[in-house]
Amino acid sequence: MNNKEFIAELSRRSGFTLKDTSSLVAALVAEMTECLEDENVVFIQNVGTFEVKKKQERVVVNPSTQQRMLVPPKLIVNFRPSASFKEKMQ
Amino acid sequence: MDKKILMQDLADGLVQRKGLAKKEAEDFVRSLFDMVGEFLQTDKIVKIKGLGTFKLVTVDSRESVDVNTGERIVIKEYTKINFTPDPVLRDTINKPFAQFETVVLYDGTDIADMERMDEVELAEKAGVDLLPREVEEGNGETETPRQDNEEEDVLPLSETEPMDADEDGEPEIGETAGNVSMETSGIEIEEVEPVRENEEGVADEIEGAGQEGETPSDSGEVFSGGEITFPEPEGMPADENAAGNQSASDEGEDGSSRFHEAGHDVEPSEAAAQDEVGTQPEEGRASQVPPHNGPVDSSRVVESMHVGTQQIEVQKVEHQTVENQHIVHVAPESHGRRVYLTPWMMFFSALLVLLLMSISYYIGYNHLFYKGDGQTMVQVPDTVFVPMEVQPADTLDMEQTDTMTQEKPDTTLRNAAVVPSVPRREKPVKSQPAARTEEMHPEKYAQVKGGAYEIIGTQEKHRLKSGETLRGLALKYYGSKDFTVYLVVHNKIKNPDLVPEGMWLEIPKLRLKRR
Repeated sequence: MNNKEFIAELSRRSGFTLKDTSSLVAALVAEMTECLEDENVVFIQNVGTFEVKKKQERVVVNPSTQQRMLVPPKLIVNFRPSASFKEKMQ
Repeated sequence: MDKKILMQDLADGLVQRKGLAKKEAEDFVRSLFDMVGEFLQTDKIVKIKGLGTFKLVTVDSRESVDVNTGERIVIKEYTKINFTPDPVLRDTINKPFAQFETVVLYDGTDIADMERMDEVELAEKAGVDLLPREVEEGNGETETPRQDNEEEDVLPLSETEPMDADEDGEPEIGETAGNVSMETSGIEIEEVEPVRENEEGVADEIEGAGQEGETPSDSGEVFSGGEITFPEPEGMPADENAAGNQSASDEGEDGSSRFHEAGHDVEPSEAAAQDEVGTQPEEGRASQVPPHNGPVDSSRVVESMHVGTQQIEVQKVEHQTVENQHIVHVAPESHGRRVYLTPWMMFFSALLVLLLMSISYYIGYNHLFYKGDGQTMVQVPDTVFVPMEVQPADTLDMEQTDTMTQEKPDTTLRNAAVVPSVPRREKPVKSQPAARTEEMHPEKYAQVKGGAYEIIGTQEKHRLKSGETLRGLALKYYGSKDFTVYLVVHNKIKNPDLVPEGMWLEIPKLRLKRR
């Protein structure tokens, strides 16, 4: 399901117009991004947790050229589904 | 920081942003996440713009081993929820580390060293705060001031190389790994630079070093020079050093000796520098021991500061050699340069081996197949046949003019000349060069004695005709002019240069000597 379908369905359920819905979703995402940027954990009941994790830098080897490269550290968003959410998906 | 944001908080945010009623906002957020779950079940994939993609991935059943019992068990098929953040979100989150890029590591870059530095950093963070270097997780903003410092440190190293621009852009990895790589790269540049200067400064060296044309080998030369003047720097493997010295010594002999001289010239400043450097080897060794204790770590930091100050001092001194030697001390951290050196080492050693082989082949060839041939070739000049009638007339004329012109002053000389002139009329040719031929006594023809053939009798007799030469005869009877000596020895010819026409020559019968 792509974003368009998702917005359409959401507007139907929540009763907002399509335009309002998309702007609301954007606002929600912005809010979440802001929270994550501050290294907070976003916990959503029955769905899971969004959190920022730091990946250490590491050395990788190109198997064909044997060239070694140092991959820098980075921050990534991690989503950990809750147990109930996982169960639902089975 | 590390606060737990709940759905209610998100709703509050929506209320603030969009002016919705609190209830409405909460419902909206809840329905949004409910929908994610629902559609994930039906569609297996849900995409939300700005947030990311949720995906259901089916993991096939597989066999495994129970960790406790060691039994083989089957892990049932299950679905995994996969979340891929939207590029926008991903980049926003990774902003603190955005300036880092993947760096190519060259051979010989010691990663253990980096890890070691890592520990040092951590220790530093805990106790000694000499440098505000950063290890903090996630928060990269505090790194920026440090980076400025870093650049200042590096800039004196690499003067105004074009690489500077790169270094600014180069990822300054928050953990020391990056710092190390930056420092080393800075040093590497520096290494090459002074070598160039040296080449210009020392004109003689240009010929030797210039032929190679490659900076790597040149730097190797200089390196060896530096090593000779200085004791072993830091924790570099000794045998590696030795290898470098050996290979470089061939072509770098001049350079190193020159280096010595130059080094002596700047003795005072060098000594001053050495004082500072003096502590370094210890530190190098100390830091190889796992640095769990604070003092060593701090010394490590002090060392790095030292490096900076040294560089500045060096610039004040403005003598390339000193600068070079400094770099030799700092350089061992960057083993990467050695990579360039080895092919040249191999090339030169191969060349040397080839040369040796060719020389030995040449000598062996001569020794085996042409026993002392070289000597005979010199000793047996062309045999010239002079018609007997012409020579006496000439000498007579000469004799007469001599006596005419010299008359009285040299009576003794005249007498001496006149007395032998009587027999000379009969055999002028043979008597005149007698003195010369005595040197060429048959015994001198060593190759007849020690040669491969021996004379076992006379094969036949030959009467010399006009225009014939001993060489020609040798070539005719034996197939090689190298056999001329046998003719000379067998016929006891005093002067092989002059053999009278009509002379009977005995052509010797030769037999190959048995050994």
